[in-house]
Amino acid sequence: MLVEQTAVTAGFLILRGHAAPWVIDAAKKLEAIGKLPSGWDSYGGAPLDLNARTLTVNALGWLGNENLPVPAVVLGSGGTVQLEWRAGGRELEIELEKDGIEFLKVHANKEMEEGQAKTDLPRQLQDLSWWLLHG
Amino acid sequence: MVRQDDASISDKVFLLRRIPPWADRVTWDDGGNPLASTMNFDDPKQEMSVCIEHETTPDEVLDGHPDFGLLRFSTQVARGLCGTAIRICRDPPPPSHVLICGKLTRSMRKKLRDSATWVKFPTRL
Repeated sequence: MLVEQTAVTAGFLILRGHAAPWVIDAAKKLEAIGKLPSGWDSYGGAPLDLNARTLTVNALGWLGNENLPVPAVVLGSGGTVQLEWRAGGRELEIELEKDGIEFLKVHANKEMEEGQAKTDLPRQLQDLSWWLLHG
Repeated sequence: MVRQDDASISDKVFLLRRIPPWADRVTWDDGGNPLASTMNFDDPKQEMSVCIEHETTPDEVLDGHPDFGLLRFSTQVARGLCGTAIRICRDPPPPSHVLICGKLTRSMRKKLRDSATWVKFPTRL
C-alpha cells in the first residue's frame, strides 16, 4: 500500500499517498510499544515517554520518503525509543530522546562510530539513512 | 554512595540477563534465530541487573516471566570491553543478584550483546 505523508502535527502522523510502506509498519510498532505498562521489561522499565513518542513520529515523517527497510522500534527501559536498521552489511541504531538523537553506525567492516545531534534533526536523520543505504 | 567493583566476582563468572519478548527487544532472522537489541544492555540508572549463573538457575531467574529469553555473558568480557567504566557489585536479594554499574557506551553495549549467548530463546510473539 502506498500512502502519501501530508503532515506531522503535534505527534500525529497523517498519511496519504506516497510515504514508504515501512513507515506504516514502524508506526504500528510505535503504537504497540506505547501500550506497555510500567515494569514491562521485568526491570522496572518506564512506559513510552511522550516526548520520545513525538520525536519518533517526527522522525518517521522526516524519513517518510526514504526507501528504508522496516526498522526495529525498540522501547528503552527509560521510555526512549531506538530505531534499528540493517542494510548492505551496515547497521544503524538511532535512539530518540527528549531533546535529540544519539546514534551508532556499524560499518560493513565492523568498525563502529557513535554520535549525537540536538539540532537540524531532519537533515541529520536523512544523512544517516543515506549512509545506511549507500555507505 | 558510589558502588565499588567486587573483585570476589571473578572473571570466570557468567552472568544472566532476562530479555523481553516484546517491544522489539528481540528480532528474528530468516532462519528463526533471535537477535537481542543492544537496548537490552542499557539501564537508565546505569545499574544493569543480572544474576550470577552458577548461584541460581534459569528457571529461578525467569520465574514469573515465562515468555522472556535469557542471555549469558562473562564478567571477563564485560570488564575487558568496558574497563573502569563499570563496576560489578553484589546487590541481594536474591543472593545471586548483581549490578553492573556505570555508563556503557553504544559500542560497549553492542560488543557485550555480540558476546552473549542464549540460554533460552524468548517466546516468538
